Amino acid sequence: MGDKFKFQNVTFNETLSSKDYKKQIDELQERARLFSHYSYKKKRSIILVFEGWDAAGKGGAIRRLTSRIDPRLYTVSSIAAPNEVERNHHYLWRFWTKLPAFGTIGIFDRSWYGRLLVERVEGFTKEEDWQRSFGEIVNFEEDLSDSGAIIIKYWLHVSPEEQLKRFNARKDDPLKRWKLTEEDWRNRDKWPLYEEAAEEAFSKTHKPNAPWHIIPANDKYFARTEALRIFCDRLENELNIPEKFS
Amino acid sequence: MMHLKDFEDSPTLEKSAYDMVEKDLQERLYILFSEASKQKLATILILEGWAGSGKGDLLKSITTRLDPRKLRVYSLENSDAKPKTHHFLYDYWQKLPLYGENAIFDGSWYSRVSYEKQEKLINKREYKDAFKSILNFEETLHNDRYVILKYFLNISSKEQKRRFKKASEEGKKWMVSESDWKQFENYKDFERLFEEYLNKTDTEICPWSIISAKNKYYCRISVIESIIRTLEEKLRIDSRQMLLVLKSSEQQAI
Repeated sequence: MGDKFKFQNVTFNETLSSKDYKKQIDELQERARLFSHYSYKKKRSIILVFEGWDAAGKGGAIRRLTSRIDPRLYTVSSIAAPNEVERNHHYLWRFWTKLPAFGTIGIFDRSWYGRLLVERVEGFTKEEDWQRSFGEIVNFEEDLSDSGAIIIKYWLHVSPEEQLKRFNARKDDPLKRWKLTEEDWRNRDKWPLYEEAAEEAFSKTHKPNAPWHIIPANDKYFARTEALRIFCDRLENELNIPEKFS
Repeated sequence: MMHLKDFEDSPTLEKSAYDMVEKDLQERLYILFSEASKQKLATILILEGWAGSGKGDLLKSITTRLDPRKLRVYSLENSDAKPKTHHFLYDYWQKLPLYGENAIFDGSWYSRVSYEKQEKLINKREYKDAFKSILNFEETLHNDRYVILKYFLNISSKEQKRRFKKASEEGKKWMVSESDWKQFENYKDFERLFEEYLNKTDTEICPWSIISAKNKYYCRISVIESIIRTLEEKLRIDSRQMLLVLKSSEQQAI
């Protein structure tokens, strides 16, 4: 990561066969389940941010991550355009109020990074305001990690070609058609602008206490296991989980 | 460095003199808060100070003329602090006013942090982190559309004792709680804690005003006039002039 993160350096070489996927995901989900109980005991909250291109598989990755965790121990917040009340507060307000309690997991399907991505690219927010947000977000995340939160930020990365393939598949599939909106096509036209915004956001907000993980997601199996593996490894490290748990 | 000792004395203001100006000042507060609301600014008024310094009466005289639909008052009872489930600012983020509305904190994140420090509910590191969080919090809000006003009402230990005794002599023992007495008994400790936050968080963008509360009328006028001055500067309007215009147009209507 560091100062000069560039999407062009991401490679999509890693893939996973269906057989390996099933084996690995099963083990990882079991670890995630155990570790989530352990972090509950330790009263540490966990904050997961999922960002990424449209159709990169955020929803699927979140579902694989949570599937075996006690549902009382996590919440998933899907973040869309702010409503009337949210628009009439500081932009971080709607995230502060959705923070997970100590000991539980808060998963954000899109997040405060919208300020530096969609709001910047679409011009919803003035430049002087989003420029200030880099620092505000770093402070926000630092406040949370000071209070014991473990923060993990994911960007699920697909290539433009892979995205087009998925859009077309969605378009033709009656069960998946609802997932595809006009907005998705519009965003796709602005790919280079989003790329530039995301690269700057990663570089300025990638901190030891709140690191970014860019996951190549052209291969869904690989992306899902990778997200879970990062989650489990980080918890194991931060919580010093004894061996009998893992 | 600010020392609370330097804010113990105050001029004496008689009730009759106070009564003469109170109504106009309240009317000007109303004008200013309405204008802030029109400009979609949110105001956050923080009232801190010693138990027995008269925050309650001050609060009443500030709010009485304001639009209650746009105003929320939060009173912090340290003694019923709940178990900690989130970052300590989480509660206050929940309570932030909407743009165009106002919140008054009778006891705020400041008294909470000093209370928790005194009661050893937080350790040294958490105490230090709290100031960092508070400074970021206030700056973040200030850079957005929030106006933050911070007042500390000061009385000496002697005056505090006199007021607590007077309350019980007048059959108002219920007004003085156990934690109020505890504050009196540990006056020196609290003085140090209060001075610490006053000095550490007196910033250019969100400064503190320390007001002697020895004379309650003087104290009330000082705070209200200071709120008026700050809002007039922020909103660039002259509320005295606006009040005169309002009054003369009312007279013409009669």
